[in-house]
Amino acid sequence: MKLELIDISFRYEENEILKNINLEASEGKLVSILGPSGAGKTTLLKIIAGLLQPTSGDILMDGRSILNKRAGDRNMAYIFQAPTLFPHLTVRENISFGPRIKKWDGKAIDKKTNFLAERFRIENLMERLPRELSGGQQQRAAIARGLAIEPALLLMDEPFSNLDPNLRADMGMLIAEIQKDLNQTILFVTHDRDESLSLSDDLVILLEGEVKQSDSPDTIYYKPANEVVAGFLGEYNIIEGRAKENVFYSFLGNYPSSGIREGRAELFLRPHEISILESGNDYCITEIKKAGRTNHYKLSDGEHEVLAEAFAQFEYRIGQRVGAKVNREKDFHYINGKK
Amino acid sequence: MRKLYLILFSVSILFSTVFILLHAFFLNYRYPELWPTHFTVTYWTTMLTATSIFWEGLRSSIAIGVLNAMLSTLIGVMTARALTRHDNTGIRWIRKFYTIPLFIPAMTLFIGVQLMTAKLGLANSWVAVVMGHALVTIPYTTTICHSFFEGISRDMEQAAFTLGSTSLQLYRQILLPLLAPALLLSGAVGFLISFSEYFSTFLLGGGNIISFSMVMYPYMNNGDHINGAILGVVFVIINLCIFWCADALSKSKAKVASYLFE
Repeated sequence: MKLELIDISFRYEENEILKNINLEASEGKLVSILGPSGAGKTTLLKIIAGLLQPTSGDILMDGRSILNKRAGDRNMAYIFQAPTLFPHLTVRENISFGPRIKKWDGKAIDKKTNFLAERFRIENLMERLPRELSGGQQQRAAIARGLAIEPALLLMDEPFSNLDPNLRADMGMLIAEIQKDLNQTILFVTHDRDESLSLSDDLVILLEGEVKQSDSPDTIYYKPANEVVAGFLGEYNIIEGRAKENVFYSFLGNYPSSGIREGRAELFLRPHEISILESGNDYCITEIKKAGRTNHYKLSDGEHEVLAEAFAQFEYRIGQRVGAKVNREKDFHYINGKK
Repeated sequence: MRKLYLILFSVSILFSTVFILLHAFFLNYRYPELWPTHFTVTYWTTMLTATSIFWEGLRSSIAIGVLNAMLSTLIGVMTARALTRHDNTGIRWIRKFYTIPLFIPAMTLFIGVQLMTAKLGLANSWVAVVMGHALVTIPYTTTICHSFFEGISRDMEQAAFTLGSTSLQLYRQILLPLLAPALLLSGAVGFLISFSEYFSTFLLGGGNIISFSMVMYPYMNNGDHINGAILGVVFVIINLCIFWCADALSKSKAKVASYLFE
């Protein structure tokens, strides 16, 4: 199965929600669409599912347009942000809803339902009504219900956003496991960058209705197409310098720069790629920002500023003089100056 | 103090009903007698066995009430779904004005219906009467169904569509079971309002349709209090039965839909 979106645009009244979206999802891949609220992620997913019609563009599945097919005939399942289990049906009836609608054989329905119940660890909840389940159990049942119809594509619209952090991590692992085991193609919409970076095979950055970059998570994180994408995935450094004879010269040191134009260039580094050296005294710590188990330290040599990362336990202080070192040894990314 | 208000409120509501009951079972109960004395069921026997117009009126009213309950509930469900699921200029106008039949004087409203049915060749018929009654009850049924539809997320409907469900399957397997309490309540409201209608039935039926309230009115008008009261008691019994049944059934179904209002 291969999904292709070709120049998909969507306009609602006077607002252009999506602008010429091009995107691909290959079989067995988990493709995340990452963007802030209002970027058009849900609209895009609903267009793919057939719940909304695009203003222009086409959607191909294995090379054939599915634009005129109704939602139920697209062989896709949609998992919503809130679990949308049917409240008057038991978990078993919910999971078997799709196969029953599609008139599967009774034995095949039972087999599929039991298999999914086991995979999602909800075997003992099958005769309960949705209101008797916790939020996490409800969402597991909703995903099982979606997978019961053996969809070519599973569309997940921020499915873990209502869950607590521990449960989110568990669900993320469960989805990754299911994806690999069933070779399930998944299109996963999220605004959580950590979730998207850890789960995805491919990542699409959607900002203001436009795809800003589409690549592997590592590539987008370490080699963003521009500063907008870079900033969306977290803090970063732009180290100004000059490239000459395949070497980049900067205040932070000299690094290989093959493949970029000679002259002014900007080296892109994430804070964790710069370590603090207690032994040095070139920089002064001017600001400390908490970032979970680590801290981000703003270092200044009076002329330049750089953001470094270190574990919070080191307890560096503002005003302390330290040194700085770039951890990366190869494959440097330069934002400007490409040939 | 609150209890006193409650007692006064209940007495004021029940007062007239108690008088109807007394008049239905006691002969010549008139002022200044404090207590009724001449108990009788003879009038009841005559009314129920020898008065054909009683049964004709009852049959007509039940038939019109059931038809109106079904029609106004059907239209109420569809209108409520459109009001909660769509948003455009037309829908916004309907949202503002769908209760307007309740504020237009009955005379104006029903004369309008009569003129329309006359043009369609349906004047003085059952159809005209049911149409008139539906005009009054649809705002109520729409309001009842609207509140239930607001509790059913649109995502749930869309989930059913992506799983392969058609619109008909969505209604049959998902929406109707969840809307059961609303359907029962709006059906009961549709029936009760229709059952109590006198003027619209008289006007739109053109005398061809004899409803229960039309049977009752001449007795009261001619001072035949005992027969008028007998019909009044039957009227109250039927209304209370419908109300209690709908209430009990909708409560049993409400368990399923309880999540809607959590």
